[in-house]
Amino acid sequence: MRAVANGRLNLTQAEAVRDLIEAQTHSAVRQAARQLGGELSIRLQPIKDALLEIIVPLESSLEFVEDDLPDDIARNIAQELSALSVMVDEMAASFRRGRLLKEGLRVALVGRPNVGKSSLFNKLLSSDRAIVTEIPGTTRDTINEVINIEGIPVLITDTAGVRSSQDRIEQLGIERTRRAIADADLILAILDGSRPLTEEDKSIICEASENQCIVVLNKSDLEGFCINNAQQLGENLIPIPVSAKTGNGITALCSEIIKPFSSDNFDENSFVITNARHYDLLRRTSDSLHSSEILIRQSVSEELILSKLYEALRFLGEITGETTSEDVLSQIFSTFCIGK
Amino acid sequence: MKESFDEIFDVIVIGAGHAGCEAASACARMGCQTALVTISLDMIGQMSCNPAVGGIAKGHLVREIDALGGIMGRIIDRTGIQFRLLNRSRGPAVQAPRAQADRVLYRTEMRHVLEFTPNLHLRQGVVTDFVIKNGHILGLKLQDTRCLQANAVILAAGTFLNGLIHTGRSTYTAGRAGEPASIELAQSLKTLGFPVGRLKTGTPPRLDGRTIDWDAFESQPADERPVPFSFLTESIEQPQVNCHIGYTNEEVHKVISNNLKESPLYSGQIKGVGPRYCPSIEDKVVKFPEKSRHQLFLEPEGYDTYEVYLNGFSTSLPFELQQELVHKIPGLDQTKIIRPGYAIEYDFVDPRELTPFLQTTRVQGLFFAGQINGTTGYEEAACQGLLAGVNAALYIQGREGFTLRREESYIGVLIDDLITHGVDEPYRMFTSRAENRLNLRYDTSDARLSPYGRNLGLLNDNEWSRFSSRRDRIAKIRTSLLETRFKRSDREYEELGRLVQKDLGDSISLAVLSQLPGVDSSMVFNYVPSDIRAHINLSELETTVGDLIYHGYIRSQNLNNDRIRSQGDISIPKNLRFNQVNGLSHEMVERLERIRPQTFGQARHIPGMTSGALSALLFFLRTSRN
Repeated sequence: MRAVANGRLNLTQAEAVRDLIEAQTHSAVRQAARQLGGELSIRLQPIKDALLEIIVPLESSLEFVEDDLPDDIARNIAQELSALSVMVDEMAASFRRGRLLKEGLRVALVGRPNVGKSSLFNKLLSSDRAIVTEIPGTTRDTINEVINIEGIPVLITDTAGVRSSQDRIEQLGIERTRRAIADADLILAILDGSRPLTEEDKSIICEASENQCIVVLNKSDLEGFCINNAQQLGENLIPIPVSAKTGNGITALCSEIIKPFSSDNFDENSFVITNARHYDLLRRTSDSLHSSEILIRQSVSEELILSKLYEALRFLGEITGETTSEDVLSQIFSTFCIGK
Repeated sequence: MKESFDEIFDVIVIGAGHAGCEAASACARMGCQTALVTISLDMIGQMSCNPAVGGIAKGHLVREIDALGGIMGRIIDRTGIQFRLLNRSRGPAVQAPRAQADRVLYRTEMRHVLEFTPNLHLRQGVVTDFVIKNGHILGLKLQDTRCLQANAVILAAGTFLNGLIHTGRSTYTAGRAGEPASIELAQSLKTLGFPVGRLKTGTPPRLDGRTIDWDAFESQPADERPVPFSFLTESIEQPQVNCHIGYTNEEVHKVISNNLKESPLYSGQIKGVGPRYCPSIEDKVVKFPEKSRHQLFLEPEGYDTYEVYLNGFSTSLPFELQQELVHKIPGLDQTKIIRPGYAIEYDFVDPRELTPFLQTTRVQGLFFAGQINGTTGYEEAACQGLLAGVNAALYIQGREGFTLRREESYIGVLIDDLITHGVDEPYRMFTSRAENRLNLRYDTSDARLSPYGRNLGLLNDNEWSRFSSRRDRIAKIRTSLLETRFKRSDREYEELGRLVQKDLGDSISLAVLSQLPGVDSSMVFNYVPSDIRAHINLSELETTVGDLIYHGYIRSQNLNNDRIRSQGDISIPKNLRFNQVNGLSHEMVERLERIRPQTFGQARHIPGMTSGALSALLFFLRTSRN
């Protein structure tokens, strides 16, 4: 952070350096490098400029003129504010993808006992990390491993099978499973494709589909395997047939897992927010912009509208560096002929 | 050097302008034997520029001065001839009083008040040098060889330090038109090593009112219900007069554009920096060529004079051109200028030299207040004078210095801005300079600051009891507004619904009703329960309603401040040497070493800390903790 003090980097850039040092994969390095180029600041600058352009006439009318804001101008400002908050929202929305790049994609394997979660886990790891037996409920705890799929870090979690059980240890494992589901970015809901769906399967899928979810139809190597078994799941959940035993379909599953990052959906040149602090501040900015828009539509006195606009400017300032009252005044003096 | 002093004081104030008068009055009332030395006793409290006090942000400052026990508000209330509350259609946080003054009455009243202040001694003389020993001030030397002793000196010299007046190409040294500048004193500041710079300000021509065609101008009357500056003023007694509004035109602008070479501002003759918000008419024409007219205010100078101040027409063009331009304004085609406008350059000292108590770091016991610190405006000067006076008295008495925070006052904002950022143009107060504008209303300055004034000894028992009873009444009104509800079945409900033209729901409290847009406090007043109403006035009700209106906004503001401040509790190791923190500049290390903050929050509040330095420190504290 020495560079900040020396004035060579702004705060965003300095944080990007830190992200760069911590970045684990190529994609993350590229993103961090881009923010180091000051891209976040560059992208926020037009928003700050637009905000300042709204603030200046409002402020000027308070400090120097006594006319109230004409209705048509107020309407225009409200529209601009609404457009700005959409822009900020879009940037904030990129945070999820950004965080995935930086911290890795968290994938949880869930399913009824003995559908082959641990076998699939091992296959994905290409090792025998988890103990696999014929006995349903063998996996009693969650197990985590990081694998690398085409440069994207993926943290996969094998979980205890979900069923109602009297076994105390198994119950604890199931509790952890539910937590793993809550923490995951992506759920692999594993079904036994060689048997018809049970009520338990359906409730698991129902729970999992509240998150991002891929339905995996295991045991494609077995005689009784039938893709129709999962067809009543609905259009949005198209199951992927795999065999944890033979490895069939694993490649297709892997590319499905990193689909959000595939070239179709994720242009490596597109911009993402990777820092949780930035995300938080963008959300706050958007809230303040939204409040000020409501206030201006209610025609309240300008100082109230301005209090929310300054709030937004301050949040942005916490990312890119402050806009001082001197900046606002300079803009006023160069825009309006002020003073008696 | 003469060894003995002719007179001995505790504190000497140099300059009897708006800063000097407040400073001397505060010192004397805090029990110090105080001398007020001025070049001319006849010009005490003179308004050098426009004959008016207050306005947006400036009116706030006067209210704060008054709440602390200063004198400016009381004097303008007795001598103001046109009172107006500005921004009346907006929320109370951005409303502020402004008053035209009778220039002579104001200065006469100021002198009268000072003469009747115990411990205060007026002295006429030109100060030429300081007497300093071992870095401490000991006294002053005057031009007439007198020597005055004091352990604290407040310098409030206004535009007099090396003052140089420009009208066209002619220049002459002066502090104000017709009054001598302080040349030797300016030199001794330089000799002492103070970083001295040049600023510029200007003033418009004054007109012969008998030669003005008043019908050509729009008349602007005073408020029907004048809002006084002082919390102690019951009512404004002076008869109120009108101002007049007019405009320049393209013909005027053309003549100015064609003659810019005659203006010392554009010929390169003036080096000092002028204020952007108080531009000369030359500046307005050059910088805003698309504007076809600029507003002018014709302000009366007083009851007993026909002199008129042409506000908005500040200029340093040669006299003949000034006269020609005035004649081109409809209604002024026969008007004679009786005093030409002029620009004045003067010395100021970089205020980053000062401690938060307005004391210089170079000479112990020497304080600066007013224009010497790079500000402009009577109100900005007066509030510094008050704080310098208070701190000089505390210094003499060996007590801890007094400061105000940004969050609680415009005065705090002003002093913090000055000593932290310095100035590159004359500094004027604006409400937007205050992060907490909604909290710094003109009508709450007593609640915010009068307890300090009382502690300092600047508010007497009578004044304090007035403050306390106003505070108590406001608390009662608040309870009453919250508790008074009107239901559908109530007689008042229907009446209120008609007045407000809104559906009021099943029932509505007076508190909610009074915050509805378009609802005036004077209307609400009639619905306040009569037992309360009998004891309160409208302004107290307005203050209470203002508190209610801003409550939510201020809370959300405070939440954000708290969020930022939450880092403030991170402690700084006692033995930390700040030069070990990567990325701190030498200057920042010095500031930190001087104050030795114990928490990050304290470090954040050290004046002059940059955000970069704070980031570096925060980063260091977080990483070293892990």
